[in-house]
Amino acid sequence: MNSGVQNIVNGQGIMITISGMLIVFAALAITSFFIYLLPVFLRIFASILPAEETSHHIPAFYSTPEDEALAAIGFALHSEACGSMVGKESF
Amino acid sequence: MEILFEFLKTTGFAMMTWGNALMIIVGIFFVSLAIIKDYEPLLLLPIGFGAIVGNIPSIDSMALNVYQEGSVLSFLYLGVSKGIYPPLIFLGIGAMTDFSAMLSNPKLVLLGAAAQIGIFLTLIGALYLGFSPSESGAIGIIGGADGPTAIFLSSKLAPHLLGSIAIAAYSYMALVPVIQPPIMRLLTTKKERLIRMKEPRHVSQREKIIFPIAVFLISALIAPGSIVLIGMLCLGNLLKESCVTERLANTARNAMIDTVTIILGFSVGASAQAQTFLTAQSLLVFALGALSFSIATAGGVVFAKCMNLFLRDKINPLIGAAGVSAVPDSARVVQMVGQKEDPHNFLLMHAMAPNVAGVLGSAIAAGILWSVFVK
Repeated sequence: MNSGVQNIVNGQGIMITISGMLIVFAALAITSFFIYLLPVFLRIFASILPAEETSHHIPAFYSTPEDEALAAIGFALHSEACGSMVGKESF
Repeated sequence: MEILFEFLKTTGFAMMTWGNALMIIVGIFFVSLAIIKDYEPLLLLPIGFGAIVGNIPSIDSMALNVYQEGSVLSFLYLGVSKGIYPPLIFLGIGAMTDFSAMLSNPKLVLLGAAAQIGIFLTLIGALYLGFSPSESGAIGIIGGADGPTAIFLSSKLAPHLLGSIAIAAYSYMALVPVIQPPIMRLLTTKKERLIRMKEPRHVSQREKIIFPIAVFLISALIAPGSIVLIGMLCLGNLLKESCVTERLANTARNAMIDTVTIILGFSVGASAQAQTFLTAQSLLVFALGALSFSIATAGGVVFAKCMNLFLRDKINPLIGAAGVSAVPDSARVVQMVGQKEDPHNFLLMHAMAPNVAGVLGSAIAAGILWSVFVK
């Protein structure tokens, strides 16, 4: 292993450091600028592509009020059948 | 009787060197740190146990250790030496990362860039000490405080230093709560540490979905070397944010990342054999790693102070330290140091912004170094 300033010069250490930091800063500055502009773009596009009302997470079989009521009745019956066990788990 | 004596010669006791014994003690120390002090247990425990396993001496013909062709451990180690595990870890990290903090305050992204100064200044230090340019690049990346990135880059640029670089990177990541606070206190005044920051704004789901695609395109087009790491990070994040692949996101952030972490930690630990690890070069790698980590922390804090010269809404310079990308530990350290001054100041969410930006920054820096030094 050689040592010294000559190694830094031979390995172009200073140039790599300066250009490396510039590239990292450029990439993240562009990312930062993009993030800054994103809400503005989205507001413009909101009129063209309005947000969907429904969510992917809501299963279709709970989508109507009747089904929700049935689910609630089912849960109540299940709780009663399980007795105190359900109570202990919940609290 | 002769068979018994022959057998005794092949036992670990007979072949144990002082170096192996020392590394076994180091392994036990790592395991103890993980269990007693709770320092990065998910990493230190498998690494520590791996170091114990890797330093049990055996006869060459048995092919037991990671460096012997055909051994089981060598197959596990392939994922490290070929750079397969780091992108998989990044996929999991992407699936568990919420970029909201960063999206709500884009200027904090720059702190993640500033902290990468540790990588490049350490590269100069390593060159000065006589390491080759590609070795210097691999050593410098320790300052990114990102274990998978350090492993990925060293497997490409300096495979012979992979063991010491990986151990140094993970050790310093585990020691974030020890290394960072003194530097943070040294570089900030009490008044600065008391700065309270504005609440982050609400971020829409559309922003979260568009972000990983956009950031991948920006990073990959600027530094193509970062395609693998940033690509997997962004894919993981898209799986999470798209809300249509919840099963895949769940697997990536739980079962998959846990599996890979166990194998990665264990095989990295097992690669730290005394014969290859206890060398003057490894000690230099460790020293440079500590320097790299400290410079990175200082770089983030000083840059935050510089930003404050131009900002109307001041930022707490402590969050600059989170730019080193050890997610989420450095953000937690920021919160801890900030709360010591003001128990009602919550900096964690703000610190997560430079923290995740640091992950992007270190992956981009690794891509740049890979492009520059690839042969």
